[in-house]
Amino acid sequence: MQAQIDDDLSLIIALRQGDETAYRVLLTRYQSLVLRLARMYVGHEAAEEVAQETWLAVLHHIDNFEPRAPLKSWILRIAVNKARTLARREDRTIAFSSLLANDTSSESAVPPDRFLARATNGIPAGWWAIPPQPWPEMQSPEDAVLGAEVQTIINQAILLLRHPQREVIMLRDIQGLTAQEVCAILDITETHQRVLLHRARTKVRTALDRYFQEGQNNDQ
Amino acid sequence: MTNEPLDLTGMLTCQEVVELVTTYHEHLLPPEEHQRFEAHLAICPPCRTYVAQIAQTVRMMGALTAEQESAEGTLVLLDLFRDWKRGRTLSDTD
Ligand SMILES: [Zn+2]
Repeated sequence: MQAQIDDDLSLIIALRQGDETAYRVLLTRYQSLVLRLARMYVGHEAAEEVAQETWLAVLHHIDNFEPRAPLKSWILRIAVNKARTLARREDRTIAFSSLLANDTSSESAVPPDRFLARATNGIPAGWWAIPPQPWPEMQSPEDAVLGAEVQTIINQAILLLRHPQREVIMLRDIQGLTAQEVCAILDITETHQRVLLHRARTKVRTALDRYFQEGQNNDQ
Repeated sequence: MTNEPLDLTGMLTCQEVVELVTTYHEHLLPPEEHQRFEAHLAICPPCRTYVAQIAQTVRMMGALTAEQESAEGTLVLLDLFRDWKRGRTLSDTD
């Protein structure tokens, strides 16, 4: 943690002095993340625009930046705000806040009819009525290359998520950010972050499950 | 199926396990709940399957191949820096 702060601090100081190397270090570290983040809100071309606005804002505000928050979160938060603004301007998405308001509804993770509504044969209510079936043997997790079809299933499932869920799952599980970072970037509480992540993961798993079970029914 | 039936009444239900799985994976269950969660997994193969599938889903998302960026985009960003630096050096004399 302290090492991270020291590292941030030396980059900030160098950048304030106009050191291009420091800027390149930041680009190498965060530019692809900024772009992918922007693409959650706007198209490919507009994402480049968001990236430019983000880095311009970073440069213009670096003098005022107080390293209370990590530099990474600060940069990504700027990117999210720029992307949201552009998306609203282009009317590509509905305002984030209205979606966030809807998202407190209690939707259950797995359809309730998968569980026993009342005790049956000595098994209490709330236990599986229709238990999940194992998936076919997959390549080992070390085998990082996923089949194209599986990738498509995952991507489609994520695209179908409502916006705050999509943001959280992309940042956490695809970009690999920590819960703390995601909370700082999206300005949400840890609990809310976890609820969104939970719903999103559940839906992606359901999509994969549907895909794998169909594959088995069709006898591969 | 000759085993003496387990008393399941005090245990977490499968539905509860499904709702708690993310909190479990995030290591945020209070110790007592954590224990109850694992006690349930110990006797419930379908929930073990479910929890493993969620974990596998997360691993698969982490393994998605990223899109490539254009080198062009980076050049624009470097220009942007040089312009900023030039403007800054000029205004230093204010
Ligand atoms: Zn169970």
